[in-house]
Amino acid sequence: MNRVNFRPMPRQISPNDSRGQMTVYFKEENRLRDKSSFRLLLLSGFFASCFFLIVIKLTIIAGSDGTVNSGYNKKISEYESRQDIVDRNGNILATNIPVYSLYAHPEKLLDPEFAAKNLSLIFPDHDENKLLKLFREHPKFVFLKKSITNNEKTQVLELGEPGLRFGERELRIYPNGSLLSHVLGRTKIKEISTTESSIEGISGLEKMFNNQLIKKGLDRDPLKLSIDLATQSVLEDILSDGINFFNAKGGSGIIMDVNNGEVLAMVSLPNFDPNLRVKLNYSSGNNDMFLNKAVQGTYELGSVLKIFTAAMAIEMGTFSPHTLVDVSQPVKIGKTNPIKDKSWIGDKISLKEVIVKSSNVGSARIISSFEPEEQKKFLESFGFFEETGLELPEANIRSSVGSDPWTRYKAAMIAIGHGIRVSPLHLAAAYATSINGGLKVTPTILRSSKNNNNRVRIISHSTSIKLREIMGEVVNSGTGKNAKIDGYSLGGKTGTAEKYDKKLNKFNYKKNYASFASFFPLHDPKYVVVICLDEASNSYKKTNKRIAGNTAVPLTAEIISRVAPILGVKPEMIDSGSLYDFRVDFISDKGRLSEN
Amino acid sequence: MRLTFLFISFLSLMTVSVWAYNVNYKARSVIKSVKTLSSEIQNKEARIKLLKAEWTYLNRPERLNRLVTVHFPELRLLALSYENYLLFEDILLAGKKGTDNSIFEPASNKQDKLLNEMVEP
Repeated sequence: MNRVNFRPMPRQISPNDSRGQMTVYFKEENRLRDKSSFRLLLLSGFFASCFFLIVIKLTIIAGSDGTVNSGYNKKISEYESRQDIVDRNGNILATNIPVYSLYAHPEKLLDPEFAAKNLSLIFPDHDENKLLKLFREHPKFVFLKKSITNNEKTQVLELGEPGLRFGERELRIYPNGSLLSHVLGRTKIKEISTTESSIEGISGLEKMFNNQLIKKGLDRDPLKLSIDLATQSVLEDILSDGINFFNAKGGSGIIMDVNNGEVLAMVSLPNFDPNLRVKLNYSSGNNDMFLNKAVQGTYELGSVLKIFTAAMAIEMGTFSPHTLVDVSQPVKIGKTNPIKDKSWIGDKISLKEVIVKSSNVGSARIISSFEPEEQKKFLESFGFFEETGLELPEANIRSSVGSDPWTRYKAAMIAIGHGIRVSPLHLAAAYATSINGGLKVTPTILRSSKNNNNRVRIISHSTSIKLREIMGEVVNSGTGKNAKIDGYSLGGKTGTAEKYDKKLNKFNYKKNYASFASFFPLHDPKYVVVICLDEASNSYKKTNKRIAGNTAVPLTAEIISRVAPILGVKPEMIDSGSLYDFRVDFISDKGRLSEN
Repeated sequence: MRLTFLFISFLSLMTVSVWAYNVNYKARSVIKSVKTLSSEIQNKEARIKLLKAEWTYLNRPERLNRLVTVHFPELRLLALSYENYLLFEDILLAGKKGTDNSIFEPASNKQDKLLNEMVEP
């Protein structure tokens, strides 16, 4: 067998070899030595580079903070809970608390009777005998409680039973209870196992922003709403008291910034407590409390929509607030029922008075000067027939006018607020548009979420100023005079619509939908307030007890007098420090428009 | 020469080995403490979250309203109204014309005055 040496060796030469042979030997040796030294150099180079690499790696490790490759950061990022929801001032509206699930491995229980007895003492909803039976029937695993508090966990731990185990989980809670329940929405537990559970939104913001709330990563700020908790609380308190006082079936209220469309408060009553996790049950009739009346409910709101008839008449240039309108006779279009007023208002009154006195005849007469198509386009431009854009899954509602052709009669009915079903949110957005100078408002529930540049102009600034003036007069001397409050001047328009009774197959005058859309301060509107009451009745009044002027209007007055100081709206004062006595003062870009 | 080179190489190898072992040991210990700290942070964060939730629950408007009603005799807290807004001219300021400056004196001065008045007669 030929053996090859790693280091090349010269062949052996006997001492008897001749001189010439010796020379050959040395030459051979030199050649082989050169070859071996090259191999050694190569090898040492290889080792040196390995050594160098190790040094570099060690230097990197020494320079790091020890957490880069620890693998623990990843573990933390997996434990990321559903984000909080906060109001515009950072007050928590929805958050999570750590809770534990309790389960048992009955075969590992030291003393099942002792465990069952004590568990029934800690959790009164568990019966001792039933627990024992469960332990016997399922020796491997028994799920005992979905969520227990830390204190309960400690009590269970003190039993010292190795067969009782806990799983960590989170519970979504709403510290403010039923406040804002319709806006925040509801959640359900998506997956349940002993060790984990995930929460999923099923309505409201919890559903709308479900993916954003559970998003993992660095950008995990809480979801900030435009809602102001204090304003919301006041609105809900007063509306709730009002509903009780007026014996109403329900109601809704919205307070919105007229310039950027931010909703500061939104209430729909009756409401629910999302912490109780009551399930929707049509048979028990609890579906009413889950309906967000401010957003989902569409109603024939009546006279509150008359202001858009006036807006159109002024914007088109055909009418001014002082143009006289004949209201002496009911308006009869074709073979339809004549449109008339409840009482005789006069022969000829100005457009302003038509709104101030809420004349049906006047509004129908004004709209008869225009083509029905013009009215349709005008209302379209205010966004009535599209979704409002509010970030709630329930807000995918549009105003409905029926599928029948837009005839002159239909136009006249819509001019007085009938034959068109509008949600209070649509109304609030349209009012904001009409009084903020004429720029379209898109409602939002998020703080500063939308860019307010490039807003579309719907009506001219001067028309907007004139509408403010007219609505100021409604509160000053018209149907909304019960809204006069100390310190602030406001404008608005009332609406009392009779509800259609399916049983009687006609409008029932005893069942009304009263609404009041208002704004404040009058001369420089900042907020619009829409209050709607379902079948409210003021028992302190002998007559007109169901009209908005005696129900929704005083309620709005109370709300604004409480909310305005909270929102930092300065009361109107003159130099001496005394208050304006509701003097209506309008300054437009062209100068003073109104007579004081 | 070769021997020196070998000796230096061996020495540096030993030094580097000790250093590497040290670094490795420290890194492991740091990783361990990071794990402990992270779990501690996690616990603290959970605790803060719970406390925040509790604080919000205790400060919910409905409860505050109830407390205001219950403690009205002592606190006399009222809802904010337009009357709480004043013009700047109406605010009492020390040294301003028409202001009773005695109300801006430190309480100790007032006590001294009262004591003097009590002693003098």
